[in-house]
Amino acid sequence: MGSQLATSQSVTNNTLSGVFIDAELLDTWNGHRQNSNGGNYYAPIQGIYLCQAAIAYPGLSSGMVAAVIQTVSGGGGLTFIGGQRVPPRASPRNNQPYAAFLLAQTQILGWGNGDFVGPAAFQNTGGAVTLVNLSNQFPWFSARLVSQGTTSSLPVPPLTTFPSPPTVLSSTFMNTNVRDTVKFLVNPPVFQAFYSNSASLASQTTLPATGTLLGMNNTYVDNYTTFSGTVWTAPVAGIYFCYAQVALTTNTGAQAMAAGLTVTSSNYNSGTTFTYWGGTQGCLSSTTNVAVTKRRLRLNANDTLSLAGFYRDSGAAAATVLGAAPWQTTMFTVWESA
Amino acid sequence: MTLPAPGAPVFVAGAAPQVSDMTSLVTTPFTFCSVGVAARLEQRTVQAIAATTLTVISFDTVLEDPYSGWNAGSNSWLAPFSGYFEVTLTVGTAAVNGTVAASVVVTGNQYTMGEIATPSTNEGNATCSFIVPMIAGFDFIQGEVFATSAVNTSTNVGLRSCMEIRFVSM
Repeated sequence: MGSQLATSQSVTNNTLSGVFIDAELLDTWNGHRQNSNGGNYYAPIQGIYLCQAAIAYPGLSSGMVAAVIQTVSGGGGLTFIGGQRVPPRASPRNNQPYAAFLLAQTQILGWGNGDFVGPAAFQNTGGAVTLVNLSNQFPWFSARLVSQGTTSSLPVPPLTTFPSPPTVLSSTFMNTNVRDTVKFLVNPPVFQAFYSNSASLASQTTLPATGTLLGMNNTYVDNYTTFSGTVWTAPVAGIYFCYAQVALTTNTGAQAMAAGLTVTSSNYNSGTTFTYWGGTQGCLSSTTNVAVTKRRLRLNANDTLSLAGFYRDSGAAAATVLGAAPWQTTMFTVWESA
Repeated sequence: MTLPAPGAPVFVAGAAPQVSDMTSLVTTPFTFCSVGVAARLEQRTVQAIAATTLTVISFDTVLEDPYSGWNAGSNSWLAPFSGYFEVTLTVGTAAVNGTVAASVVVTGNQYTMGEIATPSTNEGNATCSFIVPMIAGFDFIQGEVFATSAVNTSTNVGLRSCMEIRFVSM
């Protein structure tokens, strides 16, 4: 976890640019290389990392600003994955879009080599923009190993009380309560899928109680294999970090858009399916806009979650759902606790 | 369930562990690692937010708070033990033609602010998250909202404001 507090980096117009992180808040495995390649985190262990970034822009009056994450994954080339992308306002305290993704890191070679993740920025406001570096408004980035991402069907650790003599401490007990506990905690359920075609999202005038579901046809990770079409099913009970992102090419009458998480769980809304919306954000017409939302939800095993989208257009025209990098439509979940 | 942050277990050579030893050396640390989340809070009644005024959010519903850190009077959550906590704050509002910002505040210090332009046609939203170091019994977390125009928070089930706090690391 780190921030940009001193650099006041200038971001070139219409260019995906890595963001320098000059202040480390927490780096327990010394993965962040602060010199010469300062924005990037070189994963010390193979696995799936939850990467989050927020980029603080000043007041701006045209174009778009976005939060992006950059990565080299699996020894491949540099890839940018775009997150929230919004039209800025001229005189707010700042404009701060957010992005989060699960990213596999497999080529573990150390600083300067192999896989890495880091924050990036994009703006097309017409000229170079200097990022905000204030004590309470600044770009930040975090990366945290959340799962090995390997196929599993283990349950949540039962954490049974150890038996008292004369009951024998069996291998079955130890395998269930020690071995499988460790295996579960280093490889809990993770899921992420992307939309990789293009489809239409019809215009609506109000945020519906249950949003239009968006299918995803490109599964990135799903180690409990519970995703199909538009529906991800919670494989075990617990608290999940849930993230939804909707990327649209808007039409000429674009007014608003939102991303949502459609939940069916007895823990919420008396079990009636509904959508947790991120609220609406302003849109720029005839260009790429990206909305996001995130929640930590307590789900029971077999509860379901889907990605939902909302778009409002003054001419009632539809928007196009995007699936092409770097601006993609996606949803992910990470089991975080029992 | 309220468990202390466990230290590294030490198994002593030659000692025959009792059930209580195995509980403290194995079950308790594993349970702590499994539980993880520290608090989830939600707002279900409308709160009026004055224009251009940073306002502490009054969360009125505790979804879970196993360490009982939430203080409804001060609208703050007190750290039960020292370490790093990830805070996720989401603010939902009625329509407002301007911007809405959410901000994590730790012991009076504003850490970061997520501000997003919001259309006048539909409900607004801002989100903010950060990982913060906290000292047990001293540091506390609040959520703040800022809007360029006066607005009410939303209580629609899908647009409620919420704050989630999760223990990340010692």
